[in-house]
Amino acid sequence: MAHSINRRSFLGIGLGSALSAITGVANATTSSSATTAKAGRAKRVLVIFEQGGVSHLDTWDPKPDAPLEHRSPFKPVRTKVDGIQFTELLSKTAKVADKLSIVRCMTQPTPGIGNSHPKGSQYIYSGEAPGGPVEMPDISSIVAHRMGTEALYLPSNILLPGTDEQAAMSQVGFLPPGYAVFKTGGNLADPNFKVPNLGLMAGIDDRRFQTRKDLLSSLDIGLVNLGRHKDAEAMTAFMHQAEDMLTNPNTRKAFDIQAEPMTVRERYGMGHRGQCYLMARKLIESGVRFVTVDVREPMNTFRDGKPVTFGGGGNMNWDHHDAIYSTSHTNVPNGGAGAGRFGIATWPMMGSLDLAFSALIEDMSQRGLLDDTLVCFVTEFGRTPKINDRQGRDHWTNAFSFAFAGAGVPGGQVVGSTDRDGGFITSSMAYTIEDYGATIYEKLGIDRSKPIMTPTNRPIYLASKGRAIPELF
Amino acid sequence: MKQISALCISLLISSMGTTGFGQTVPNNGLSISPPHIELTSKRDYVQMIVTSSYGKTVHDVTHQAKWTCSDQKVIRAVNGKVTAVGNGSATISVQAEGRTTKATISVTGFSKPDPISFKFETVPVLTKQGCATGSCHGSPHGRGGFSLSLLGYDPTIDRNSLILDGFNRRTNTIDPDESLILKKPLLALPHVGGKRLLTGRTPCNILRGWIAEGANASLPDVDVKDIELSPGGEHTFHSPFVNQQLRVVAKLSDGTVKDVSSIATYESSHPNVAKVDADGYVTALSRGQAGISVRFLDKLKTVHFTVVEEVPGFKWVERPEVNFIDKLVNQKLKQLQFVTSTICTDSEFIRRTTLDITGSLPSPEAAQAFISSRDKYKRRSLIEHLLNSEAYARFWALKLADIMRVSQQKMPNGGAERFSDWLVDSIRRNQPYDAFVRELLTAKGKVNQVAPANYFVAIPTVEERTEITSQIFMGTRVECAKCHNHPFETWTMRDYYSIGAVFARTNINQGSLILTNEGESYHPTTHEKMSPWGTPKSINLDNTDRRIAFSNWLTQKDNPFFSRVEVNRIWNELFGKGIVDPVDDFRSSNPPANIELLDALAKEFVSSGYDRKHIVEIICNSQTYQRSAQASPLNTADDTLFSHCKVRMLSAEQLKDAIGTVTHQLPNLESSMETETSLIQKLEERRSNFKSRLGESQASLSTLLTLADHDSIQLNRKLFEVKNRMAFATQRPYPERNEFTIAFGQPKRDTACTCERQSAPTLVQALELLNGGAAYDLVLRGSVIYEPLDNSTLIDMLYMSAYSRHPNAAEQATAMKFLTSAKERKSAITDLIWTIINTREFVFQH
Repeated sequence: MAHSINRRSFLGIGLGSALSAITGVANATTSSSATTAKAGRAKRVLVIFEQGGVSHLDTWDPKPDAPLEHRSPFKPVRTKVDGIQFTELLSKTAKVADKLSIVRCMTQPTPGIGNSHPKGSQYIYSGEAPGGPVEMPDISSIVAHRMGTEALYLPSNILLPGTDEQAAMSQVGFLPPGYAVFKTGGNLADPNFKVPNLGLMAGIDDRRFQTRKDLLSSLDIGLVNLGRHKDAEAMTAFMHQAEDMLTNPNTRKAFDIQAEPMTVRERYGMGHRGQCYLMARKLIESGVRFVTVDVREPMNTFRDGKPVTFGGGGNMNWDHHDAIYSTSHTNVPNGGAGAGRFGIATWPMMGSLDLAFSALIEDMSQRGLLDDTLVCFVTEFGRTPKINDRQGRDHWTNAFSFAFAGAGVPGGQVVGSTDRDGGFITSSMAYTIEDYGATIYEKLGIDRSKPIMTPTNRPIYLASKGRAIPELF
Repeated sequence: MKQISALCISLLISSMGTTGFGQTVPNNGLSISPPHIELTSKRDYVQMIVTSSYGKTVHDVTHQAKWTCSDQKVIRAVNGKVTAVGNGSATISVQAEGRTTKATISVTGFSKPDPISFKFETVPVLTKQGCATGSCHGSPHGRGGFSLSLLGYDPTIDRNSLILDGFNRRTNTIDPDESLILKKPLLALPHVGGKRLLTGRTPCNILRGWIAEGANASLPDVDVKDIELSPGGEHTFHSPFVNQQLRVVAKLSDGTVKDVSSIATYESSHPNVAKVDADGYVTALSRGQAGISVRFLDKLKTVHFTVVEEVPGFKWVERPEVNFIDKLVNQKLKQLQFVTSTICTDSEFIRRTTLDITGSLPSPEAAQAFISSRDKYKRRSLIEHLLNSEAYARFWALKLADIMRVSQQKMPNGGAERFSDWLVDSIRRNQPYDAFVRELLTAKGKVNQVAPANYFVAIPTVEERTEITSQIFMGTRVECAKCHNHPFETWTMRDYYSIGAVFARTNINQGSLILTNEGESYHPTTHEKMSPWGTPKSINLDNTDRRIAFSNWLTQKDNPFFSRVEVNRIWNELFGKGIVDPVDDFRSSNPPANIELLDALAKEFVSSGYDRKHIVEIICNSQTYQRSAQASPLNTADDTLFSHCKVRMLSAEQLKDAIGTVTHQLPNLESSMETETSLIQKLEERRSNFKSRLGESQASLSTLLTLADHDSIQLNRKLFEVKNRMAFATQRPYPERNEFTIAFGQPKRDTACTCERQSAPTLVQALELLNGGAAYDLVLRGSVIYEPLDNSTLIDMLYMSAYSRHPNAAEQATAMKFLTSAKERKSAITDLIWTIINTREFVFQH
């Protein structure tokens, strides 16, 4: 049966499947009828989306033989796996290479679509080229819709930290609004960080809330027979779920980053990025279905709990059009497009990333979370093999790298290859962002041959132009 | 089959009168339709229908009857399907229920070749078997490398795909049985789509035969002009008679008439109510209404069935009927055996009606006055009073502004304000709806002077103008037809681009909406230049505003969409559900829940001179509108026929203002005119003050001084806020969106679909109510207002504000105990207000 969503049964149940019994749509699985899908190896997905276009040449795909004037200054280093090399900017991650599959043959088949950051990011979020007849929901929203959650007291689809930046990139599309990603917001390196709306508001303690709940249950009696009305019934169930979320100690525990031992927090790095990666692990461990990290260090932030300013770094994503190898900010004369970043090797960039990512893989592996969690490291595109005259690298959609771990992804593997300069794919296989989407769905055991119906009854197939990357299975 | 038989059918239909059956039905007896047929080729057939009647009741006996042919060398008949066996004439006699009737049949041309037509047989069969649906090979990328046009809208695509692509494996004319399009659906090879063909059945024979004959895919320049359904119209099944055979006849543009009952596609809108098999045999299953849609190529028609079942314990209770609405709603309820709920209380009535007409809760004073009034006509007076309020104009303008996508981004430079003012004004002076639409659709000139021109500013492309105009005024989602014929309706790509041609010459240039002399709309696949929809052929297109002809077509009295769509929208606003639902999805495969009601309302709308206020008024005065939300076991299963009031969430704006009303944080709308007058007076005083000090000769200087005067500026600002009702969300056509209103479904206004406004509850809403800052801030401020009151008055005031009623004894006691036993009175009051706004009685309209 197709997963139909019509307006009448259009309940937003993104944050849990408690109501599946009532609605019959939230938690439908696809076990019935002839299907080609196998039981998924993954139960949860963690996507690290490093936005802006990480230079593959300076990270996962070293090119020591590129012409000197365009060559990355960062030397290849050996990893834990014989024959696999990263650049020295990933020297900590190199020690967990045995847990990773690096796909060096990622490409955007129609670069006109995803060669800008907003469209490219939407491409990553939805796994589908933007601009089709129907704007696709995020992969994470579809997963929440199809699979519900295991942790009722937590949202099933969380973005760390989530800002206004993603307002148009991350979309719930035709799905009910309840499946939209839940954003924590804020700076996780801030010693006073708290997730708004997930705890009781200031001045209302548990006892006062309990008093109110008691009063509510004795006064919410004015309409008898209301239970027969679907919306009223659903609202009652949501009220109970919300009450649980507000008072369940597990909710607060899942988000309580301060409760982590200091050694662990430091292992991830005491900046915004490191703490976001750590929070992602905590949430996955609490049973959240889909966690996405899309973080950049703020200019005015905290490190080790103390305020710190990265002067000139107003927009520290990976869009290194200018001065990519600067040891501080990238604001150069005649520059512009790449201003506001910090050089790729600095702490707010690869410094914090290498530390956080290596910690994440190591930590998740030790906790056994890699058994059934798919971890994906993604970015919209790579960067030009040539260094431009502002010492930066521009967008490059022909070839770039993703990394995967967990949920049966083979460790210590490199998939695909690029030429001497890292410009074009030389391997017989090449994979797209649609293939990445298909990989997630199939790892989760979601049957892509069963369409979701839009409210206007148009059947939508998941990652319809993609095929799961076979080397990751 | 020759045309004569079809002619015969249509003559019979017109002479049928009340039963609506496409056949003669004597008062008592058996009738067969058609009574005479001529089969003109080897494969020609006719699906006959036999009807038995007893007085006024009729039922189908086609399958139960015994069919006897006078000459088995001429014809054969199975379940009423008559096929040729050889040339000659024969009589067929039919026996059922102890009665007999006859039909005569002649067969000619049996020995001449009868090749299978690709366009009129092969392509329809691919649709019928489900191959060409949007979820299979009809999807934009096909399935498994094989793609067909969606429901056969483009036979050229199908021809290429079947014959040219696939290395000749799909259609193998040398060894037809090796063709993939047979082996896969017969499951001789694995097929993801499962078994789709049965050996020996007509669809399989057509596909195989077509290949065996050489897979000739020539595409003659002939189209289907119309299809004819027998029986058409509306029918009722009364147990134990639960079946009806259908016949489908296609009329081609070359004059050919052809029975296509075996290759048409049948679909039920409510398969739980009535199902239909591949041969067009309908079986009723349970109480309710279902439409059976029949498609043949790009033509689609629907026949409606009502299934009546005896409900144990059902006894119709006559209740007074105020107007035709009650009569027609009750007629349907009685037929389907649902009782009506009783009439709502005065408290429920004033709360419901005030919310529906003005968007706000009634003030506690208004509620108190209403429930204690003994005026026999107080409900009628209240409706009239509310409809004459400024709040009505503003709240209903908000609804229009939603679907017309009013926002400061889409209508920049003051356009949103101007357009909104124009909307409010149109509703305030109750401008006839046809005049309103003509003024809107033919607007031209400077957008900062001609307010309605901003409609086109918000929808700058021809596509948007086509889709949004059709959706708002024709209730039709034509956007599907942009790329392929509409899968559930007869809208074609030609229609889409014809409507496009209406707007192809409307441009925005330097702040002006102008008409240009060039600009055409072309069909994307045939590249044909489309003539604009609604413009008569005789008119020279070069010197005319195409939009005028279109608006005239749209607003003429017999337009099938215009008045129905608007009355249905009004109905939807007042009942939380349209008679056609969703309101912008009118199509024959989505039938109205009560077609007589919709038609009567539309007729009333036209004869009242497109008076929107009148329609709201008659609906609100009906008993149907005034029914209680309390369902009984005998109507709780009904959610389409309006037997009881539908409980629904307040809209985002209503809820925001409702919390404002309960916490007494909103100005009183009843006295806002007085406030306005007094502010204007104060401003005038200020001005005359300057005037008197400066003297008459310095008049202009005094005006200038007033402009710069601090107090005057404050007064002006206050006046602006009062006039534009800035404190309210329901009173402004484009209220800002915030976390609270977004959570409760306030639309972004990206589309013209009312579905953009989300009305179903979500967890985020529960969190906002229980723990959100926006609501709680109002609660805190409200507690200050309630604090000075003694406990009993406080509780009564709170209940009157929130629910327009007094608390009952139990509620009074609980609340009283809570307040008196609290350590801290102020926070106890806060808790009590918080509790009230979290109850379902508050959050829902009922």
